[in-house]
Amino acid sequence: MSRYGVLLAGLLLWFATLVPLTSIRRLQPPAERLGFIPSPEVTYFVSLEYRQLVSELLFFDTIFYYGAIYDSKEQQPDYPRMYTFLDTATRLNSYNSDCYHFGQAILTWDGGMIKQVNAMLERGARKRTWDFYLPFFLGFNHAFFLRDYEGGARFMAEAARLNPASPYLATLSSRLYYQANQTGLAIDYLKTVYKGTRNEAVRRAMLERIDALERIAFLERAVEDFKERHGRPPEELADLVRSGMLRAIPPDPYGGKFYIDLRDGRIKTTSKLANPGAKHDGN
Amino acid sequence: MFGYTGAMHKSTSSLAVVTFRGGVRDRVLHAVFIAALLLTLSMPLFSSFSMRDVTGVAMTYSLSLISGIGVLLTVLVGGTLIARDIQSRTIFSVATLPLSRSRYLLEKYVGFALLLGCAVALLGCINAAGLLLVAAGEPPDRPIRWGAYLLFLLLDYEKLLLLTSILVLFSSVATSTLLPTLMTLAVYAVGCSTEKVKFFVESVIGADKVAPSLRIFSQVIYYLFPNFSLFDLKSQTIYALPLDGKTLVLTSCYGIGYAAVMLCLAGFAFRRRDFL
Repeated sequence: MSRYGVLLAGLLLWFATLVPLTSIRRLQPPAERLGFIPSPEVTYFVSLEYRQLVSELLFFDTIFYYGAIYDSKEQQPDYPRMYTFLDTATRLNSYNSDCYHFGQAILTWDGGMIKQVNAMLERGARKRTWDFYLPFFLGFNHAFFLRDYEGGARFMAEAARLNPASPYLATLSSRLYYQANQTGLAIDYLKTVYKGTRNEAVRRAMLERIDALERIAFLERAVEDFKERHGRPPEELADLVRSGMLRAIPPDPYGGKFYIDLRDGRIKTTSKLANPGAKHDGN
Repeated sequence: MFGYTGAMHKSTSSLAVVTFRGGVRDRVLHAVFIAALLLTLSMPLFSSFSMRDVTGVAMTYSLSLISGIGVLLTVLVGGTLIARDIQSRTIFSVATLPLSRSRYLLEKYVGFALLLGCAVALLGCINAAGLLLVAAGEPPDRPIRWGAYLLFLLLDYEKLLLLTSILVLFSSVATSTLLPTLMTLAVYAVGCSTEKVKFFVESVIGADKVAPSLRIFSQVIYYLFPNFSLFDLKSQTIYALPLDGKTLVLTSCYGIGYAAVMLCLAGFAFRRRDFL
């Protein structure tokens, strides 16, 4: 066989195998796709003097994995494994702010891992003593997810102290003490975080959530108007349409259906404000 | 390449210069530098994956690159420092020179130290230019502290000098190029972890998990092997953390002392070595 024959055979083998291999790798189970890492202690010792770099690489692994899974309809992200990666990354380098922003944006809302993320954030806040974002996230998590308004207000006050230029933070602390409007709180929070986020997949996830929350806020205002006009709350959202106040109920961007929870009178959605497979009730 | 036959009729102090010039012409050095340049060019791409701290990520990448390339240069190029003279038998000419064996080692060390100094300075300048570009596009929350960057380069350079002194010690007793290189890499790996291990075994968790004999062993290793963690100012540089002047001075003196001991031991070993 001539050398050109060998070259051609090699090229054929190269590409003929790579294409099916790519498909196989794409369909790997989420856990295998993100991979496995040793314990934080082992990773810490073997990373030598490159722990900051290893920490970044672990973070990149996580966002690439999430970015690839985000649009996939067949697979759901493996949130516990994503948390393991971010936790190890922040143990290698407690200053790695990207891990805290990503963990807060995805693992709380979609993964329902509020306590784990809070522990990670508190560890980071002890090191990044100049960064208002970490107490800001902690404040929000305590108020919105854990309904701990006093704890939330305490962290928001710390965030306001670190970023005195922000009028929003300055007033938020006092708002939390009065258990202010939850939906408005979440929208304001997400808009603040959205401005400081660059990752496209996370930005899209945030915009989708802001959109859904704005629709909830719109429905909440309509319910309040209904109460004023009729002297009683609507029994279901369809009452708003039947009474002529709304032409239709807006669809949930997550594919769920909005409804009134008769236990607390709040607007909720069957999607739980997260993509299918998510664990947390973000309402 | 590092031979000094062409210069042996010149004054002995020119051996360091010959070593430096030989090093500059070394193809391994060129290959490592091309790789370093390509990696530096990829800095904007690497940092663009950050969610919001683009300059911080660029700096993490750049400082790790400088450290890694420096270590590679030391073990790959420095590994041939003495072994090549022995293998090419130019070492026999030492006897004909008005130059002691210890002086030969020292000249070689100084010549290579000059080469490393230039390499670190060049890498530092290239990466600083890259960082300036990235920071101009995505201004960081906290401005880059160039003073800390300079201190990082200086301490990283001292770390490489310390590593070279260990390489010289191993080269003075070994006959091959590979053995000193591998042993120096092993010492580097141990030296990067010894402080972490010491602090871990002394911690409450470590005291529970580690046997007393292992605890003593880790203490011995800590005091015997170089502590490279002291020379690592990456976190302080990337996140503009405060630097302690006293620690810096002590670290600097520790590095000089350790390297001096290694070079003295290398001199003793080299004087007793039989090349026949």
